[in-house]
Amino acid sequence: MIFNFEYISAIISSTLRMVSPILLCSLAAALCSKAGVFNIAMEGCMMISAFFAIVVNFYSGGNIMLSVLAAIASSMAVSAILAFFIIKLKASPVVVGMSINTASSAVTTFFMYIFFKTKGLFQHPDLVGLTKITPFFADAFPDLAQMFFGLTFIDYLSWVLVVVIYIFLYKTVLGYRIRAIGINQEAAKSLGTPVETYQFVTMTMSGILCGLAGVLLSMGSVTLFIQNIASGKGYIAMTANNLGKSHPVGVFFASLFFGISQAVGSFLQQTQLKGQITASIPYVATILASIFESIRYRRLREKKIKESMKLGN
Amino acid sequence: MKTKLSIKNFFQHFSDISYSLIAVVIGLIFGAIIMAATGFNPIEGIFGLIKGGFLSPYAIASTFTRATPIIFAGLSAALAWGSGYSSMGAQGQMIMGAITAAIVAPLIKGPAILVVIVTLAASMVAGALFSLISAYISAKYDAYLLIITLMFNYVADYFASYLTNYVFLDPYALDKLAIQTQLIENGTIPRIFSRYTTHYGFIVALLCVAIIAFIINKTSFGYKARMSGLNPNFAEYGGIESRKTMYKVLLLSGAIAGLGGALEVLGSKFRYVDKMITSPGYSWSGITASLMSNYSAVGVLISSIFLAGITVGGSSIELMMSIPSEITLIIQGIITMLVTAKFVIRLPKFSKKEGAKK
Repeated sequence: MIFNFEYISAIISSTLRMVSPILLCSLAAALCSKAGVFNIAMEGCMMISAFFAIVVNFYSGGNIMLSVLAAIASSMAVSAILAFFIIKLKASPVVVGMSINTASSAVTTFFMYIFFKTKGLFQHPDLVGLTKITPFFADAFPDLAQMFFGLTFIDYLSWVLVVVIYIFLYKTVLGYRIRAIGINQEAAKSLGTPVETYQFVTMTMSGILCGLAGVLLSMGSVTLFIQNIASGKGYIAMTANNLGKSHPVGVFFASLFFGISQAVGSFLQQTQLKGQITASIPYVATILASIFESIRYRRLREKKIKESMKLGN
Repeated sequence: MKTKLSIKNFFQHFSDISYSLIAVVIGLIFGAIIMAATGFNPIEGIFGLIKGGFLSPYAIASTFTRATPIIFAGLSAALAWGSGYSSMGAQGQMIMGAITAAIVAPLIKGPAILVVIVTLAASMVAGALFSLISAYISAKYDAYLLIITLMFNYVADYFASYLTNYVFLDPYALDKLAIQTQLIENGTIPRIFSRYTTHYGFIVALLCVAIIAFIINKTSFGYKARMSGLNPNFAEYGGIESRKTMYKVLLLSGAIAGLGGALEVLGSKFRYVDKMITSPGYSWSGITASLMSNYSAVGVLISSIFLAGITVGGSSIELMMSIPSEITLIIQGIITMLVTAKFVIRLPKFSKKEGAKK
């Protein structure tokens, strides 16, 4: 029963939708860690951008482009504040990042009350969600196309961005410089690279990615805003970045794994399993993934050491 | 020479406090600006915050009640963060302590004092063990402690929610929507003054502040922990086994958080209510308090009372002026962001002084 085609295609379809926000955020984290700055505020950026997307959506009468722009702008502003504190004021990235995450939750709830006179959940018939794109092969392969229904242009954009960021980091001079900063800040500085400016710009730009992720949360598969809408996705994205070793392609597969775990979690809600158990699946998966990754890494290293010892003999 | 040094130390200490005070003032100013921008009277708002939190016996009593769990979370954070382990696990450990208390207390038959002691001990063990899990994973598998503890916070919350929903749900509840365990009748912690909500848990918190201050400042364990927080490589070089210290620190910080959760159950709620630890954000307030006081135990006490005060004041201005109480969390966030930025503002000043001496 569980293994029939419709079930599988439903799981794939919801996986694809769950992957994009995590993927976008972990790409943002990857960019930042390549530039040698530690960004943990993706959670907060997502919440703020998801909120302002809904606010502009409501007051502009459902103008999607404006909402997306507002989301990106607000997320970039938050990232710029974060970058200013970390890079210019040398504040602790963990502390500033966590304060932004908790303050974002408070800021959105505060302004939700100011704008909409409600706390907790805001939903309105005037809100317009992102347009769902029907895949071009829908007529030829309706079964296959079913998996891609419900995807928006940001979902597709997130896949394109994997390639774009890969090319940017590994095939352009600018990307090379950014990676050089991440590898050795002092060396990059001695070569005349304006390290702090590069880091600041990279961090602010990574806000664009979190902004897009935020739009997906509040205007993607559902169009509403709910308190703590990011629900730990920003932290999961950080783990995805670690597992993917900050490489865009690695990050893509790690995000895919977390997308699957979220999709399976929400899918199992329809079975007899209790909601609390299924809801904790993504978080347990994150912990387990870090453990397995570390074991795998250790084995690889041991193997390498053994091989080099053999060569020595 | 020696006196000079101590005077300098005093000023160094004083500047720590003054930076936290500046952060608090800037935080409040930002809060006022936000209130003004959203059409509220900022002066009345800020005054309301302070009045509602500190300026009447009732307000102070509510503030002390609110501060109790924050002090425990703050002590737990001061131990862990002060030793260089940025653990966010206090929330999960408090939840485990709270749910353990709610389960254990009704099971024990006997005099109230015995019930309280056994329950608190059980909760401390639960908190410590829960902390041990994340410490073990982080140490054994080189996983990032911050993320592991954050993930375990979600797991703990869902786990406690599952237990309250399906295993220990109060069968006699009048309100069927309330997700809570059975009321604890024997073994609750009494109030200090019958008119006010402050319970003896606050006294326990004061005792813990003294104990932790002693441990941090006067024992070799505290010294080792502080050293590994200041410079892990140097500590290792000086013969401090960082693994062992890490386990000890995190076990102790977990036990304290667990105790805090248990006292919240035995002293104020008398049962576990779903999300009772998560939604007030005790854990984050505790971490803020420990950062504001630069990981000193006595500082945690003062900062926790301040943070609890503006939170209590926040709910009172929400009632009186309909300013959303989240304003206090925004102020708290701004304060936290500013307190770690202080080091940079201070450093150039110090180098100048030393330069002048030479």
